Amino acid sequence: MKVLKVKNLNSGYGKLHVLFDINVECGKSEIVSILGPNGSGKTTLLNSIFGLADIFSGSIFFDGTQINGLPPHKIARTGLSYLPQADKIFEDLSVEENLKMAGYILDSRELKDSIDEALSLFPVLKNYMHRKAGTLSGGERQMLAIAMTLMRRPKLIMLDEPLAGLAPIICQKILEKIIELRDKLKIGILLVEQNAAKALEISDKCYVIVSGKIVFSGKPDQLLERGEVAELYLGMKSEVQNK
Amino acid sequence: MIPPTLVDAITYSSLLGIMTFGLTFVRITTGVWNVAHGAFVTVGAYVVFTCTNLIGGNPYLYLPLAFIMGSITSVIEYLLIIEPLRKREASTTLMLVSTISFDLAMLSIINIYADYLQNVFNLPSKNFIMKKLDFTLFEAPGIFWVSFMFLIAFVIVLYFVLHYTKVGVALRACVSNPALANITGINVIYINLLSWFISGGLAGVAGGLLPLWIQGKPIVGDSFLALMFCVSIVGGVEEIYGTVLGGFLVGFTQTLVTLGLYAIFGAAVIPYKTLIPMMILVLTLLFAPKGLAKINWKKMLKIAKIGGPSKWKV
Repeated sequence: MKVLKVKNLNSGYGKLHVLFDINVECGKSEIVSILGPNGSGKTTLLNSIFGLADIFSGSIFFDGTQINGLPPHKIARTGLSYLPQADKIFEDLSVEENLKMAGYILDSRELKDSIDEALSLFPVLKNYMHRKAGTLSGGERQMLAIAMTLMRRPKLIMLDEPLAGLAPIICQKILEKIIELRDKLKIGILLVEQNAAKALEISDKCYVIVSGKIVFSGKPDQLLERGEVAELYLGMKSEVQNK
Repeated sequence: MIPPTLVDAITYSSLLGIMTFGLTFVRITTGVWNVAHGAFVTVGAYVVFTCTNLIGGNPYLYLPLAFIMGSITSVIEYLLIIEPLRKREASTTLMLVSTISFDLAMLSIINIYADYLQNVFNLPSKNFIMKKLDFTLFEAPGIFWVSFMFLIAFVIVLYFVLHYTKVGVALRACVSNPALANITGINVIYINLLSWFISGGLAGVAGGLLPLWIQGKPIVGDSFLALMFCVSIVGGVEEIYGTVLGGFLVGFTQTLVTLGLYAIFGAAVIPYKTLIPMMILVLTLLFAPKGLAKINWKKMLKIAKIGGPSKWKV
């Protein structure tokens, strides 16, 4: 069953029309990648789903409920989580306070359980609970940010470039965690990533967006078979040849 | 007996700190420099004046009402002007200009109200002082004790609320990263509203205390506006507690320097006393552009201890 359904979405910011007739779906225990060159509208798609962009037409259903038109703080209560590309943690708050704020809508008992679960997935954070989040390293910040998206026990999380700016070894760890979320917690993941090769490695399905329109949707293998799409829009010539 | 100059300086600084806190607070939470903040102070002054004259009793009894009325005025401004402009993604400059309009509207309303009090109840509402109604403790006026204790209590309560309550941490989260707060389920509008409520309330309390110390009039709050901006910037516009530091620096310096200059040059210097905080503002912007709260005092002390003497030895 598809948890997230985006139908004929047209959206943007103010008068700026960014996305045209977008149709995207993501199910439980599924990793769906959104790929495309810079400025193609990948982040706008995530912003539109989470109520942060203006929707001109079309509809967004999450878990059977139409969510377009809802403010972000209400969408956060539906079981959908979003990890933005930048400013993903509260830098002036401690790690513990960050986790508590990520579970703002939970009652105290649920909050405690959620923090325990998040820390069991990212045990490294236990050492920094009282440290200001702004002092963490890039990898630790990313782990905290992902832990924060899990605090509300979501059915689906949207990750915007979770590997950006991280060392290769940390990237690998983050990818392993993303797979763990899908396989162990049965969470659906909508992944926007510039590093197309890495994203395709772990994806069950992918979409390629170019200039606000979907030019490809299908399985990663199918995309790699269509060398022209991978080469033109994702700069994956060498990877295609290698395959 | 506490020296009168010290009483004056502490009272002045405490009142400045209380009334400026809200200005800094809403600047941090919503990015708005609220010029109408002075109007909330005036509202507080008139609430206490009206109640004391029409109902009777001690002026301090009416401070909670001054808090509520200041808060209500502040919330009205937020809902009527700031939130609609924020929804339209108006620039902070536009919002600042809009707060000037609200201030002018409030000034008119307060003047009408003062005229009403004067005409109907025959009260000296355009110029009033309530020093006679104040109490004395250890030969110092009650306003000195109340304003100072209020400031201290407020800072302590604020610290605990901001660090140990869910709403308080959410408030800090909204200050740190409003966009992220929104997507983690925090209703940022509600939090902003809360910050405006608190800031208006505090200004109202400061206003309620003012007539016990200086003359109240329809522009009493606005007459402090330049000083409030000065205190906020000197303390550090990004730091809530900086307002207290700024209030004490500005308040003490203005009181003591004016007194010193008065002793040398006579009464002619008194009209120019407002230049002192402006000079402090310029010096702060030159040497500590982020304000007192952002100065690395440890580093400064280290330089003073290690760097200084070794240079002079050579």
